[in-house]
Amino acid sequence: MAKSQSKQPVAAITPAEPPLNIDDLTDRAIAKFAARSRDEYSREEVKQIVAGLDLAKIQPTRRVPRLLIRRLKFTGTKALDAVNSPIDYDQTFKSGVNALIIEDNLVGKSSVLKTIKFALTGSDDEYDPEVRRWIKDIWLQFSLDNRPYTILLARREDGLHGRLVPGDHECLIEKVPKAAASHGFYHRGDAEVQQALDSFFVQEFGLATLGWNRANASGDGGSIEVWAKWTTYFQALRIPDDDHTYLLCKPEYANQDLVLFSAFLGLHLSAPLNQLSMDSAALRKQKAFSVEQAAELARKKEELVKKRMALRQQLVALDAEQARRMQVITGGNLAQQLVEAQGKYVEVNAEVKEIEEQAKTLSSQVQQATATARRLREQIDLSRLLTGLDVTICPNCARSIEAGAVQREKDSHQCRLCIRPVPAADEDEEAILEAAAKNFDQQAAELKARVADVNREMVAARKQAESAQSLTETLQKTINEGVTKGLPTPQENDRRGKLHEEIGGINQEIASIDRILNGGSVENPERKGKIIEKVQVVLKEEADLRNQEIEKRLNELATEVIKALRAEQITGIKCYPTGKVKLTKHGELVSFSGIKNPGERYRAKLALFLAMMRLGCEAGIGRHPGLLLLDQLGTAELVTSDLQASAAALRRIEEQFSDRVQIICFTTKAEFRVATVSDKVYGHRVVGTDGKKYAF
Amino acid sequence: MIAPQFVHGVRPEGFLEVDAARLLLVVGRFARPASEKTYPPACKPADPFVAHFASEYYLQKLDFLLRYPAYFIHELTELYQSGDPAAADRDLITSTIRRIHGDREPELQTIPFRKFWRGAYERRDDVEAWWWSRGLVFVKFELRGTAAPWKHYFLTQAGREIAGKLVRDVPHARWYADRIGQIYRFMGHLTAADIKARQYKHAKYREANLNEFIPDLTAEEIADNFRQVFGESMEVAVG
Repeated sequence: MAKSQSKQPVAAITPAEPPLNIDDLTDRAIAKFAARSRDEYSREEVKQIVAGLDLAKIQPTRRVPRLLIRRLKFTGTKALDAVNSPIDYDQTFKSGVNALIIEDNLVGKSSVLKTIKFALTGSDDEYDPEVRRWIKDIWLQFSLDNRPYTILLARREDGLHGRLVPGDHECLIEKVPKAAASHGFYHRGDAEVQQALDSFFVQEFGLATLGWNRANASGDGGSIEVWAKWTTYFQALRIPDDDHTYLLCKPEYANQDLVLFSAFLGLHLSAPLNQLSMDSAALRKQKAFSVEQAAELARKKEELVKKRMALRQQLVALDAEQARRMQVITGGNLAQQLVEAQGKYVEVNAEVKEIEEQAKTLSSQVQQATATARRLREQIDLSRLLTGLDVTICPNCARSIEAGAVQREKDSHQCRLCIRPVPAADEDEEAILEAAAKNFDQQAAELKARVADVNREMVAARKQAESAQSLTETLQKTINEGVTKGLPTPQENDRRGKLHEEIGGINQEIASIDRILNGGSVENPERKGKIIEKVQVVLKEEADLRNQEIEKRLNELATEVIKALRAEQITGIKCYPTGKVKLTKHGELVSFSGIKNPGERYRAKLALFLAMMRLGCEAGIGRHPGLLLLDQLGTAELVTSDLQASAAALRRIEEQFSDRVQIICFTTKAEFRVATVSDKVYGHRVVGTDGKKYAF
Repeated sequence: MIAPQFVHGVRPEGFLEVDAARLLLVVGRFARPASEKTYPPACKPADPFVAHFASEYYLQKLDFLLRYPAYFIHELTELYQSGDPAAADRDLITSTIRRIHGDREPELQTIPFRKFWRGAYERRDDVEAWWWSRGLVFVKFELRGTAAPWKHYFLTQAGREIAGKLVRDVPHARWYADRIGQIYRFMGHLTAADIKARQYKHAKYREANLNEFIPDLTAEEIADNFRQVFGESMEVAVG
């Protein structure tokens, strides 16, 4: 059979409709009230509800990358019937239809599927307990479009370790090369690994933040909001083993059904409609709050706002640090920047040296002035004591001075040694010296004040020099080691991610409190519910209009797969703005559960999934990444002809769409050997001592 | 008498009375009693004396240690490191050094000394004449063939009394006496040649130009040497 001609991905559709206008929506919502009751609701009341909606999130425009599982490897020790044997499972998978067929039950087929799920979501809740204990290390190599990745999970004594790295790797998680490990993420602990995978895939696939209400566990009649996670969304990547009585989720999780279709079909206005739906549900389950309870909630909200502010400040600081480093890289020619930075460093350093010299000179001057003052005072004190000593010996001839010479000095003021007139004693000599000493003290004080100023200048100049040196070193390092050194580190990315997650969590908590407070005793829930109802009607109309293109394309794609699958019970798919999806036949709605034959139900379901898968990766409108895991395929089909029909249907998918979707089937039915080409059919890898064939 | 050049507004390099007093204290502390007859008989003065000190060369070396507290700190550190018994008491040495440093003596008490040919030397004829004329110290020469004559200082009773009076009555003189006492205690056993050899280890001392002041050691040099030898900081944490 010839492959479809329309293989080129279609660019994302940008809604031709103008952006939504709050006033316009408000007016349209008011118009929905019956004329007699319209005056009972103020325009402001309605506008408040409309303005509270996130209308900017109409639909992501980025095409969803295609998810392709390329290789699954896991190791460990199997303990079966008291016999330990090593596990070394290693299986490559290809695009198109893959079939793992082992004609026996309880031989590990589903465990392989569950291992893929574990690797992609971090959730191992479906494993049989013993299998969970057996498997120690897992490697899942996959691609998002042409970007290869490996998820490595490892159970160690301290718990689960999880790492996502670009490229293909098969070393132990601890041995991943540093260059690869610096990208992606690494986490320890079940919750942390799950959270990291959730962030990664939800972001990659651009899945909307949608949720639903669940009754409060306390049974007080209230409700709590539950937000869809990647593990929730993963349900749309898998058709489980059942009798196919429902389309996507089990009936008890019908609200998740809406969320999943809204997200994967990429329906317009799904976020605000989901928000209104949750508000409405919360109002219905609302109980009146006492003043004390309302005050307690308000206090809690205040704390959350403070916490959010602190986290945002941390985020700003983190961003600023990165921006500084990024500036180095993005600021132009690195070599030129380095030359400039080096020049600046030399200049500032010279300035520092000059100031240091100045400080040294000043300090030396202070020291000299202080020491001189001291020496002057020393002279005053010593000379005071020594001046009275009589000169009694001639230092020239070493003989005693004659008494007559001493008397002559007294009588006629002639020196007893040289006979010349003795100068009159200056009585102020001591005062002159003391004045000079004080002068030096003052000089020293003034110099000290200047030293303080110069020291301040020196501190500032040194800071500048350090900054210039740091910039020079960073630039040199960047040039030497490549720009990657300047880019955010894995730790920073990790920290940023955590901060965003925390802030996001706080935002949700604040929004919940706001809903409770605004919908509680303060307002009339019934009245608010009515306004929400009208706004919903308007938004649904708007979404209906905008979703027409999606529905049209979905049906085009569905027609092709319905034909290929020969799912003759349906001819089309109808989408509703809230995420509800119905099958149609010639324009009439078809009840899925009304299709009697399980095989036909299965093929109708497969047609829906395949259309949704192609809508994402191929048409670029939806958000489904194009991977589907089929567990226990054929179990529901009791008649051989039905099995053969299903196998033939898959074969046609392989032939027509193998380059656009990936389906991995896990089955006991040998009929499915013809569901794909022979090199995509995989069998057992181990034969037990009992002769039984096992997947691993 | 006060140096007239300062009185007329010129900054003084030194005062005769200060030099005379300081050196008198050095001679007083280091001189040997006359009874030991450490002097050559030919040099014995005609007038009575109580102690004898030699030589001018030694006096200049000791005066240098007195006038440069930073060098004295350094010498104490070096003596301790070399295991000299006179400086073996680590606590005493470190506390002495820290007190000198803490009192900012290198900044305040240093009196620059000029370099003359092979070391710190300043002619002291004026001081010797001042001493002699007042009957405090007699100076005699010992001729030594072609070598430079050796000076002998004979301290008189009057000189000893004046030295004692200075220490009792003038705080500045007391500081000199204390430092001279420390030099005597830790370095009194070293000869003039030993001290000269130690001083010549310092490049700054060795390389100072003729008739120029000998540069002092910096605070960093002193602190680094202290840290290296004692393995601790010279600064003491306060509080």
